[in-house]
Amino acid sequence: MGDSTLQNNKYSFFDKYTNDILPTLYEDLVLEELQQPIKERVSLLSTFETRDCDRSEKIELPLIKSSKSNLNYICNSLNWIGTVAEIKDETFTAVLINTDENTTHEIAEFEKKEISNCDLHLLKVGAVFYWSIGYANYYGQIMKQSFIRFKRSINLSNNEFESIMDEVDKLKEGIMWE
Amino acid sequence: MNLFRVSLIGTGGGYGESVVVQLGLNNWIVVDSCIDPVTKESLPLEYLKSLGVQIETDVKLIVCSHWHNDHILGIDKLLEECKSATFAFAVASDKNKFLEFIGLDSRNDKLLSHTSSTDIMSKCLSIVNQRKIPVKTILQDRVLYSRSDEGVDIRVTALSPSDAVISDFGTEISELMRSYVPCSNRKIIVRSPNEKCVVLQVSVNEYTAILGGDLETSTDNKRGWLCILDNCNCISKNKASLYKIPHHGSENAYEKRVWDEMFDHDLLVGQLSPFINGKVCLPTKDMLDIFIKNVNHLYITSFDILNKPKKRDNSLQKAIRAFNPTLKEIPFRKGIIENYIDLDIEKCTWKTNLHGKAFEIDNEFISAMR
Repeated sequence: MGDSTLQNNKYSFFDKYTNDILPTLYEDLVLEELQQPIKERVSLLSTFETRDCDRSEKIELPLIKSSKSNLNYICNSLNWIGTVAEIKDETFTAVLINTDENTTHEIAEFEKKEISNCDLHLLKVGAVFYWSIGYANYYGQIMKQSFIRFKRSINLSNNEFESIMDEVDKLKEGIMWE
Repeated sequence: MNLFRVSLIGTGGGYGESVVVQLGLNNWIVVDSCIDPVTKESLPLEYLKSLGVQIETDVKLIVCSHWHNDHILGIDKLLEECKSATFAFAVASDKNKFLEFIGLDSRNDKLLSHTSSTDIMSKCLSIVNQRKIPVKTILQDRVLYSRSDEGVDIRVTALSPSDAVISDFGTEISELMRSYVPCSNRKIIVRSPNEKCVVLQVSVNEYTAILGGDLETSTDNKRGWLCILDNCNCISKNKASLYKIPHHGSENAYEKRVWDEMFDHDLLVGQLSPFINGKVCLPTKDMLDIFIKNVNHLYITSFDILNKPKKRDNSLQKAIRAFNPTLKEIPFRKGIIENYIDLDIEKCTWKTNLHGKAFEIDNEFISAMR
């Protein structure tokens, strides 16, 4: 008696597929979906049903906030802007501001190994990064996910620089110092 | 009422602090601003409104002591409503370069889509520019506000920053500017704004209060507290009887000579706001031990060291536990310490009102600290 879920048996793409054949996978999945009776598909939207079990085991899915595509979307997430406060050998501490709502700040310690190699040079006290955590739907598989990306400085173009300086010149002319 | 009132508004874990001062009758000044992280309201503005102050006319001066977010957030909204107030801050010697820096850096803040110090400073400068009123630059020994009538003699004087600090600030701005010039790869030099912090001596009649901001000590007397002690020409002959203890009572801001030379220990009242965010916890037990021996009364706006995770949707809590179980809330703990002297009573001592989470620190509290 197996305890794998229907979803897992049907869409076990991590075992069977690689990114190279995702378009084929997509077509297969659509065909399989269409072969299922509509009632069964509707019930699958809210539960995972265990196959080969005597009883159905229902698992609550996280609340779905948005769905941008049928196959790949973030179900439920939290997003922060973090500012690096302290850096140690293996870890760094950051103060985090939730970007989804006005609320109190948070603090957390992160492992340096959580940062992509291409972002490591940006890790400095005061550096700003974006952190998202939540659930993603990858072709039917609900997965927990954490994502850190450091803010890049955007170099000013000459035109932008000149435009800012024009505004500053107006301020210089107007402002009085005592 | 004809009060000399010094009110310290504190918020706990790094959300900021602000000092609101009534200089007798209808004369008010505000030093710094901080906001409620949920409502985003400026706390000194909210406080002034709760007292029924005529904000448009009675607030005479708004001082930005330094550019840390925990001292500047909401100061633009405050300035907008205090239409008669002069705006004062310590500016780099090269003012044009300073304005260029603000213009460039506030644009960077906008890209980040959240407010920070240069963006707010830029808004404040726009407000005073529209009002066609001068910005008051702050320098050691400069009188920022004075008035002598209706039985009150008021004098608000800056004890810092020094010439040397202002000069260094100019050099630093030049360095920072290079990072914004197109195609530049120069490294940015960032120094602590705490050394540029404004310290105020506020005197009303024979009573004096020292508002220590976040000024720290230094190894020489060209900056920091030693510079005030050795180089200031305006320190009041009447020793101060109220001290807003600098930088959340940190060891870095403790200068023994300041305590020995500037205060009347028999009358001294100490005001503190904590900085507790789960990593940093100020003031420490050791420092409180020192302070309490030097004051008559010691008050703090709050002291809550409990950091817990926020309550969230179950599935999200599971995800947080899986990826980063260290995530904790930084509690917002608003407290207000109001110390006041009734100027209509002779030889009055500081009276106290405590609001929100504020309380008096005693030896029992310190002994119970870990």
